[in-house]
Amino acid sequence: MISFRQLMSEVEKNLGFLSTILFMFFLPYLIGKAYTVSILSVILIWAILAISYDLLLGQAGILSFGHAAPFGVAAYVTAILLLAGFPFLISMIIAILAAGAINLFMGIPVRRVKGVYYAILTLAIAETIRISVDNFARYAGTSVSLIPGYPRFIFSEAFLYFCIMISFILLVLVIYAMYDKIKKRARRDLFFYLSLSPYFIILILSIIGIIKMMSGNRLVIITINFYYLSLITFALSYYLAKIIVRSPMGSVWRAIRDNPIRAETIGYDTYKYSLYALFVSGAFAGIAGSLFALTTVVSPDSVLSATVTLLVLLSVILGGISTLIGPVIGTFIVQYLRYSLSTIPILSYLSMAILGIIYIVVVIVFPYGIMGTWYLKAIGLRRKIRRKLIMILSSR
Amino acid sequence: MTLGLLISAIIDGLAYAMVIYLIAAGLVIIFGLMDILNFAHASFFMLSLYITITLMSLLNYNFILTVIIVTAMGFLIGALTELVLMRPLYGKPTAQMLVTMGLMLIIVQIVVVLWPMGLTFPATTGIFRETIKVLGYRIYIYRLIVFMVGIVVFIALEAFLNKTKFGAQIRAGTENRTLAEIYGIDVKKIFTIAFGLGTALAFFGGSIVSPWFNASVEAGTSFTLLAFAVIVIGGMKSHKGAFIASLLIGLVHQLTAYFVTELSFVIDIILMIVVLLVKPEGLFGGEAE
Repeated sequence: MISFRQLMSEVEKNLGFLSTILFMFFLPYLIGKAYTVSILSVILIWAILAISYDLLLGQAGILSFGHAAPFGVAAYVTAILLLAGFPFLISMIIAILAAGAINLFMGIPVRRVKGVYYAILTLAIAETIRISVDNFARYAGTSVSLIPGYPRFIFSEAFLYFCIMISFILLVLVIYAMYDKIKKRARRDLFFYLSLSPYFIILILSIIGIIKMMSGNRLVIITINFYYLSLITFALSYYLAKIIVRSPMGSVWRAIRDNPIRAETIGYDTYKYSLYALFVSGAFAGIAGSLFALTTVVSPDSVLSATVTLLVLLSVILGGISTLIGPVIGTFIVQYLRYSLSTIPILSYLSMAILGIIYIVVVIVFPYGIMGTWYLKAIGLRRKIRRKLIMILSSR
Repeated sequence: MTLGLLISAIIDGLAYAMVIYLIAAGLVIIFGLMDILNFAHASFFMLSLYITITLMSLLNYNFILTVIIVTAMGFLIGALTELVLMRPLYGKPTAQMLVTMGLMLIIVQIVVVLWPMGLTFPATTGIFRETIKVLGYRIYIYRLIVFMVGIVVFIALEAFLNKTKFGAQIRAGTENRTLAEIYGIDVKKIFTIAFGLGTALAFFGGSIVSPWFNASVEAGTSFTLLAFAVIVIGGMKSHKGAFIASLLIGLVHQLTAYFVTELSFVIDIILMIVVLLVKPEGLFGGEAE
């Protein structure tokens, strides 16, 4: 078992991430609109998919245009198993394994087929799967659109209380970690408090959220429960992805991405590690797919089409490849635009075109995406602001 | 399966092959020269279907004039795309490919907004709809014409690439871009013109086959994959290879569409996957010119 100290040091290391998750826990009560909350939960699912794509493209450097395949397969497996009466957790695990397996299968030729060729190959395989499912429907005379609906625990109050309990534990941990951080710090100057200010803002917002929750601003239990389900899954997936990226395996992936010949010469089996990357990425896509199955009608067009890949690619490029947090931010922008544009009458027809224009502009102007550009510029920017502040303070 | 049906299927397949070839030829030229896999190419083809049918009614149903105008338009659009979108990203083929994906999104959406219902070719009589009977099966004369046009374009393009100075420059750029630059070829100009030429071919193909396919959004999406399959099988940079692969894919596609409907499309893609696995450089990749 890990000791309390170890836990606290882990919490302190991930303070930014944990406090963001904490804020997300109380966000529904700040928003108060069921529609927005349900969109948020879908966006979180897309964010998991973007993370999975970033693991493949950003870490292992494998460009795939068939990412809809593991996603869609997982959605279908989940839907079929749920309709057959399996519990959600078991069908999710099977779906994740299936998604990993399908990505692994697509990756078998990755040793010989590289770059653009691999991209076309994966696009072709994904489209084959989609068209086969479509054709199967047409000639077998059955419908392949499945509606699994929510599993039973989504409707229960117990799950809601469980989630709220988690959020309170998180709140206590974050507050304690911040107290610890302030106590440990010897020199507490203005910059130190300035650097902590985002956490204070998040804490204040969370507390407002708690007050709103207590004052009876209740949302429909299904909406809020599903939101919590996707939030918890997202948090776990993100944390897991971070661990994987920081693990020795992650650094081997990056070595292969940057220079495959060198990695091979040093003695790493690049093929084996590429296959690991494919399986892991597919499994993460499977997590997203099996959650997504609960929200929509599972049909070839909704989960297996190339549009899924395109949207994810767009989010990852917009957010910044291989930054892990970037794709999540990119997803929020892309999907939020997609949903909000679809409610504006004139623009609703043009939503994809607008996304396309944004996409082109980003590729040409910010080739490293939002977070990539931020990482490149942030150090210089921070130094500049610091110098300015010191000048202002000393002149007084 | 009777002989008449088989003949009808083969003629259909040959004509279909030429349609795919007209799309793939532009793709091959662009990929060969610039290493860009142009995702927007088939959407250009789809756009030209719509433009042709719209122009037809404006130009008093003069089909040949329409084809000429649409082809010229295609050249301009292609050259403009290259100048505005590709030029800032020279040396980054992946980024250029991503840009073409964005362009594809935009074109498809614009088409959906401008022509929400799809369009049907206006002329219902004359050469576009006439049929001849072979062993009891009707065959559209127009499909034979499409086949003929495809052959003519292939011969003309082959002659252009092999016999003219400009074609030689394109081939030089495809073979070794740096060397071509050292020898004093203005590669940037070649890029622009080749992109225009490729797009013009897609537009030409679209306007030629508009009486056959009418205009729908599905045309663009389905041909994207077929054209990719063709250039993969033919070897990504070989014009001749693209022609032969088009014939193969076209015939296989139509024969499966006639006789094994359950496998239509799937079989083409499986063919391509097999080629990618067995010989990633394509069947005719070796003789890339």
